[in-house]
Amino acid sequence: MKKITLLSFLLALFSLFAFTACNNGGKEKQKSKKMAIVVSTLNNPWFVFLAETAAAKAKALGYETKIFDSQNNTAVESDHFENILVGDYCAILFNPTDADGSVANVKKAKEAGVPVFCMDREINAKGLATSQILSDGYSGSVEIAKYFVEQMNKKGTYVELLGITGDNNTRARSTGFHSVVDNYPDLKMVAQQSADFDRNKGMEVMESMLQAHPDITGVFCGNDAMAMGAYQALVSAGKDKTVKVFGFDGAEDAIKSIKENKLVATGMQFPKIMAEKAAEFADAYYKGKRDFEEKIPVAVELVTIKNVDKYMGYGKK
Amino acid sequence: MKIKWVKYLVLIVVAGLLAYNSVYFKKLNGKKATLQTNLDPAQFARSFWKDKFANYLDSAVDINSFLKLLKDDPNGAFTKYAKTQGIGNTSCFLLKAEGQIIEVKEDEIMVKINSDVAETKVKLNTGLYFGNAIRDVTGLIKMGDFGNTIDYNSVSSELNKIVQAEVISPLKTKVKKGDTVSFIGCTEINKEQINIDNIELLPVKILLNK
Repeated sequence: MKKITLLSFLLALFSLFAFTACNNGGKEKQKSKKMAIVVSTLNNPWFVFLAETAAAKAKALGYETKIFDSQNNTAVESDHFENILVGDYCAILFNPTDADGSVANVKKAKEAGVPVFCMDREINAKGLATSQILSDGYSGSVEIAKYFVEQMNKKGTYVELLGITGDNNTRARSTGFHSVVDNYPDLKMVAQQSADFDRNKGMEVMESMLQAHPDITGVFCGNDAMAMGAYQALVSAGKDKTVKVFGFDGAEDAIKSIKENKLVATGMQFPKIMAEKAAEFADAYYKGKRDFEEKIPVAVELVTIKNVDKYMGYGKK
Repeated sequence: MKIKWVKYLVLIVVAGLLAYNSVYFKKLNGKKATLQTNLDPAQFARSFWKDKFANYLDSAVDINSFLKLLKDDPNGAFTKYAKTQGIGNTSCFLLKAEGQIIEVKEDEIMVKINSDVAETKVKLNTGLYFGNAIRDVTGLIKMGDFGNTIDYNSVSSELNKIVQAEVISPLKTKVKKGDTVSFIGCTEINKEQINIDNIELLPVKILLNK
C-alpha cells in the first residue's frame, strides 16, 4: 500500500517537473553551435556576398552554418524557419524578404527562444529581432540624389526603377532620392516602375520605358543589378552615352562600371560590416550577452568617378 | 480506499497543471512592443524641436575651442563632442560662435568668427538642406525608437522643414554684409576627411545685430 502511495506521489512530482520543463526549460536550454543564415535571394551577387560573409565569420567564431535561400518568397522563408526551429540552431542571421511579411517568422523564432539578427533589411516590428543591423538607405540616396541633380544640371527628364515593393529599402531609397530631386522643378520624372531588384527585369523595364520616353537623360535605380540591366538596355538602344545611370549597393560590377565611365554613381552599402556584425552579435548572445541595440544604421557612401579608386566591390580597399 | 484517494489527488494535480499550462499571462508592454507605430512625423518633430532640441542648445560647444581640439587631437574631439548614429565615419556636432558677416550669397553666408587665436571663416548653409544633422546632433533620437526606418527618416525631413521655415527663411530676408551675428549651428564631419578650413554649418538659432 505504502509503495503505491509513494509511487503516486512520485508520479505527481514528475508531472510537475515535466510541465515546468516544457514551459520554461526549452527556451533556456543551450543549443548547438549552429547558425542558420537566411537570405531573401541568392539570385543576386550582393546577397550571395552577404550570406557567404556571414557564414565565413560564424565559422571563424567556431559555429557550423547553413545558408537558406528564400527566393524572394515569404512562404519559402516561412518553411525555412520551420525547419530551422526544429534543427537545434542557436541563432538566425536573417535578411528578410518582406518588412511586414517576415515579421511572423521572427516572432516564431523568438517564441522558440532562437535569437534573430537582421542584416541590411528590416522588419516592421519592435521587440522581436534581437538586433537589426541596417543600411541607412535613405541617407545614402540623399547623397546620390544631390550628385544626380549636379550631373543633370538641375534639368531634364528621367525614369526610376524601383526594387521589390514590399521591402522598406525600396521605399527608403526612393523617398530619400525624391526628398532632394523633387525640389528642382525642371527635373521631371516621366516613369517609375518596379523591376524587383533583378538585372533581367531591369533590362526589360528599361527597354519598354525607352520606347515610351526616348528623350530621357537620367535613370535612378534602387540597386546596382537593375542599374546594370538598364545600362545594357541603353547600350542596345544606342543611348548609353546620353543617358546617365545611377545605382545603389556597391556591387562589384557596378564599381568596375563606374571606373569605366559607364555607370555614373552608386551607394556603397558595406555588406561585409553588416554580415560580420550580425555573426559577432549572435556569438555574443550565445555567450550570454542580452543587451543589444535594437536597430543600428550602417552609413552608405557615395561612389563616383572622383573617389572610385578607394573602393572595391562591397566595400573599401 | 486510500489508493482511490491518492489516484484522485494525482488526477487533480495533473488536471490542475494542464489547466495552468494552457493559459499564459504576458505583460501588456511586451505585447505592445510588437505592434506597428502610428507615428505622425510632423507632430513628433514639432514636439521634439520645442521640448527637447531647444533645451539642448545650451550644450553647444564654442567653435574656437572645438576647432583647436579638432586640429590638435581629432580623435579626442570626436570622443568628446561627436554624436554618431550607428556605424559610419560621419558624426554631428553642435557649435556656437559670434562673428561678422563678410559675404551673402543665394545659398550661403560667410562669417568671420571672433577669435583671439587665428582668423577663422565658416560657411552657414542657407540653401536647401537634406541631411540628418538636426535629428542626430543631440543623440536623443535613435533608429531603434521607431517601428520602421521610414518614420525615422520622415522625422528628419520634418525637422529640416522646421529649420528652413523658422530659422533660414527669416534670416535670408534681413541679413546683410557687415552685420554682426551670434549663432548656434549643426555640422557633419567625416572622420576620414577632416578639413578645418572648410567648416559648413546649418544654423538652428541665429541673432543678427545690425
